[in-house]
Amino acid sequence: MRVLYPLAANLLLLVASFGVGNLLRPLFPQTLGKLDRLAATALGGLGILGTLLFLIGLLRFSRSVILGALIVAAVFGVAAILREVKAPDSHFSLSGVLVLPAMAVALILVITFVGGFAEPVGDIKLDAISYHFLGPRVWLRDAVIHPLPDEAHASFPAVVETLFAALTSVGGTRAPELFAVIALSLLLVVAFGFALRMGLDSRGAWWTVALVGTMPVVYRGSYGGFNDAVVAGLCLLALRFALDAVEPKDYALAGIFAGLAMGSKYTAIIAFLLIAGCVFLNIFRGGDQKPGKIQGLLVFFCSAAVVASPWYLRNWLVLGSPIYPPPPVLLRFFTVKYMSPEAIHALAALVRKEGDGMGRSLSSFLLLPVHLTYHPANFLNGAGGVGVALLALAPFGMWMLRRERSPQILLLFGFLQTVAWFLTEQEARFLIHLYVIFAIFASWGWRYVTVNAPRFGPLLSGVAVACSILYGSFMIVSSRLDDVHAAISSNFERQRMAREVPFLESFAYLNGNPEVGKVLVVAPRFPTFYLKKSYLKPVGRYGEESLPGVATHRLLENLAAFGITHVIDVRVDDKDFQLQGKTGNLALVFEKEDQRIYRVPSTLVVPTPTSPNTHNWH
Amino acid sequence: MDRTASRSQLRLEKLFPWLIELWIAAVLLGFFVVRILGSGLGQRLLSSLGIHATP
Repeated sequence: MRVLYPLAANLLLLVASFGVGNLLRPLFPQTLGKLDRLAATALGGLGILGTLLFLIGLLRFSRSVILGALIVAAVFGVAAILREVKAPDSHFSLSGVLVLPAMAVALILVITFVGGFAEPVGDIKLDAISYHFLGPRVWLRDAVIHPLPDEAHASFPAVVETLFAALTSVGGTRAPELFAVIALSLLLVVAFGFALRMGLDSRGAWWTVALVGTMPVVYRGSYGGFNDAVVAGLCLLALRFALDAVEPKDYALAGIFAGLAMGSKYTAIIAFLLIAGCVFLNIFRGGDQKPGKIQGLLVFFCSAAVVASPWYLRNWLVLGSPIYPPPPVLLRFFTVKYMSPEAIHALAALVRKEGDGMGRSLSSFLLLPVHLTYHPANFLNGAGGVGVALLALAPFGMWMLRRERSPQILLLFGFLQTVAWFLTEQEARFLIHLYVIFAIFASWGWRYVTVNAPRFGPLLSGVAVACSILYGSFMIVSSRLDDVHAAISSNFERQRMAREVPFLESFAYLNGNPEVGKVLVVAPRFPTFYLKKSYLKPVGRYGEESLPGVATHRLLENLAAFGITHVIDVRVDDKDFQLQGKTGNLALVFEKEDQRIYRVPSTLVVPTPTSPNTHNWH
Repeated sequence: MDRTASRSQLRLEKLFPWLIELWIAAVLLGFFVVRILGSGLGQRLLSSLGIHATP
């Protein structure tokens, strides 16, 4: 069952994505190749499906509703796949597969597939545990999608997290981990199509895919709850369709993909604005400024805004700001709930500090390619790096294509996106779409070097590509060995959970005890992802206040009003127990070194029909 | 003037393949030193050969 359910859930989601993505088919350009159509259909379908499930989930998010939606979409998906299989192929054939790059990609995908069956573990420092998987778990428990007042990050746009919730509902908690295979595969197919679009032949496209697929940074953004591979794929498709757009329907298609990217991650807003700017420039440099193109740009803006709007409108209506938690500058315009201005400023300062990379000076910017190649661990989630081929070969590809219009636009986009990233948050995985573009330039650079430095150039280029692929594969495989081991050995998985899940004994007590109804979590950094019971966390890890104005000690005096049956207090991150000497009538029922669980005397408990986290929403 | 320009251009064209190779070789050398010898595995290998990195 630990294999069957997650696998079935992911297959169902993939087929359903083809069904929903088929809605985009009338907008696809006639010249689009078969593989590109498949990637755009599946990726677009996943995005639309995530958005639709979100809209449905605002009203009801039970397993039957999710399954019903997925099955209906999958029926259309089967028809769409059958039609696509019968369609003539334009670019891709198995005989054109290059063995070496294909083997590297296959190795990474096999590791991802096997490792995907491991149960997620880790403490609250992992984004997956703190919010990517927490939101889905709480939504499914409450059978409705709602913000989590104690975890601001769970209010980010969540196309991918909504899909995680659907996968969890059908296939259990392992299923979202397995989704990494779909996310990474689709990104690689998009990269293949983009490489062909940039003039490379099938051979060059295969090497591009191998370079991208074995970049540890790219890989890190595709598993463990991260949604960056999906966002990068959506951004690349938006960019590609926008650059090639002729008619308003082409711009609408590009806008839909940009909107889906913005519905998946805030950082895609910057990419969207830059794509719009580049398209604007493209139109005016082309010298064929037809009124239809300006109209097309408007269509691009509007379609993107409409597609992304559900997430931002929900946040605005429910939390007070379309972007939540808001950057401090938005506090002038919006009054937000559940976070004080001080907490928002502190969070912004933390993000800035963590995203400092190797500095923000001009010299740091100029040395960025060198730093990202040699010191990637200094950038958040950059460990393992992007490989050596980009720095070694991409400059020659840029030089070679410098006079062509599309590469010029791509370079401008890459430069502006890098500047924006450099000035905001230097998290390595936020640039995955640029790594794909620079891998394409590296493949062109390889050709340039082979022709223009025939003596040692081919050998040195080959070594650079081989180093990138081999070192990247080594880093990726070694980082997933524990997951693979856990997936194939129940014993090891149990040992790993005991080692890596904090407060495991308390979770066993609370989850397995039928007397436990609702739990009061007093430590802000307690990982509630593992808690299967309803809970109330009055203060979140970034100072979020679930019950604004109600101090914890006042809450302890009124536990009855919230239907709390148990209170958990832990020592975490060098912070002592929160309830030292303030336990009142609470009875200590479980104690371990860093963990204490109290039972609320039954006379104090007044059961309420709503769960604590939904308390504020109904 | 033209002859001087064409001569320097010719020299640059001759030099260009070398510059390309030098760039790639330098990047590879940097990668080898920083990422491979500087990694935990690299340090262990060097230690086993009796070479110890000094902080």
